[in-house]
Amino acid sequence: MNPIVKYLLQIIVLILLQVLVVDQISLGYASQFIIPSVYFLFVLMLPLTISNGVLMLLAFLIGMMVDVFKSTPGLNASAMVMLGYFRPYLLKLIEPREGFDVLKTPSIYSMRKSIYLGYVSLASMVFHLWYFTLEVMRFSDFHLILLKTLCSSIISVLLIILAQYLTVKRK
Amino acid sequence: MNNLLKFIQKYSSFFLFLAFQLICFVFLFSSVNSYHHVSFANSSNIITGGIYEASSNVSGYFHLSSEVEQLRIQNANLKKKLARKKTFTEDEYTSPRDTHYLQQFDFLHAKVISSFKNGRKNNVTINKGMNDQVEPEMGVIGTKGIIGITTSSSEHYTYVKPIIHEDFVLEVIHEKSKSFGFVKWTQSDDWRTATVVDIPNYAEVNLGDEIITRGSNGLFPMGEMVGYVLSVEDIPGDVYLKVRINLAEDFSSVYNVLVVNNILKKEFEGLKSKQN
Repeated sequence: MNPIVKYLLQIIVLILLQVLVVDQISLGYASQFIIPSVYFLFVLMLPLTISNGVLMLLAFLIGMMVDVFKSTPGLNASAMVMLGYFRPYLLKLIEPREGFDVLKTPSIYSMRKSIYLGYVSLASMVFHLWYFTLEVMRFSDFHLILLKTLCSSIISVLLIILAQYLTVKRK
Repeated sequence: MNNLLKFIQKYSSFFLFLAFQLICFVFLFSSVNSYHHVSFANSSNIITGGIYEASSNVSGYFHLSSEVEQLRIQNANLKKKLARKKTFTEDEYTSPRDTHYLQQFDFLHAKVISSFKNGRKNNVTINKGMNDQVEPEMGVIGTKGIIGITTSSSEHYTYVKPIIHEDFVLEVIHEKSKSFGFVKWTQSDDWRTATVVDIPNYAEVNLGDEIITRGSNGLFPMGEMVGYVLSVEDIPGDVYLKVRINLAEDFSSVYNVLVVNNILKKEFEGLKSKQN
């Protein structure tokens, strides 16, 4: 399949999955702490050779698209740009000694499982920490921000790993 | 100059990052009624409305029974209200005929096609818009209590700012003591609760008391249910109480709503502008 068509399809599926399924999950009392996001997986799946500018531009556009659906102008876009900016640093942080295979796209099959799990968890923490900081917007409630970040990140990582096993073909 | 260019080139991705964040912050920190927000809402309405409607057409079948139950209860309550209005004369029930009667409110039925309740800036989208004379600044009532106020509408869809939005403010009355207050959605509230401030501390507020709309700005009729008192807190050194309420409307299951059209709104606004 043409890579551009493939990425467009991924964007559409992830955004619809986010706003129509994940955002509608209701966990009663716990749902005020567990507000998972999974669509940032797209930024994590982009090839390793992509330039920082393109990465941030894509992150910004997709964040804005999700904002359009949730009518929260700027919130998701800001968190996505943050994640886009930090992705190269995260990759450097978890890089194994032999380095990554730059021709492959990051997925659970192209990396070691423990490294991929670290990659997704760190990215999820960065994303949610910035997201809830902007949303709560009060540093007196810092414990609330941390609690929300932690709970949402755990559920998000679980959902993302699940999504990887369900969609990415084993090679 | 050369050094400056080199500097910018070296940190280009950081500057790009700052530029993107700046755009986001302009959206994020502009007020809800600003140009940015309104144009964002209007254009997003057109894009997302169709998708949300298609999705709610499918998922609508799964909660039909609870929806019917809600409507049954609402129907029964309305019948009760109507029965109170009728008087027994001789051998038939009649409504008193009032030649001075003037209808102030009209109600339009709409369906909720999407709603968010977990964030701080939640929203509800309904499937009626300008083609059905739904405008910004109209009240929206659910089957159990009030939902919120419309903020922007496209031809077929309208955004509603629900009580569970951090910018929401509405004047309300404590039913027993008839004292006024404001309902707000504070940081400590989740989607089932809200906070009423400015009720004077000499008012006797008991747990479970009803909080209803005052109808002061013509958005809602007077006496629409808002919620029930959950806890009362006396703030030391202040003459007002802080009352937390359980919202009457269950925001995890809102399907059918009524949009309140105030027929006398123009007259009311004309009067207000004359005074200024």
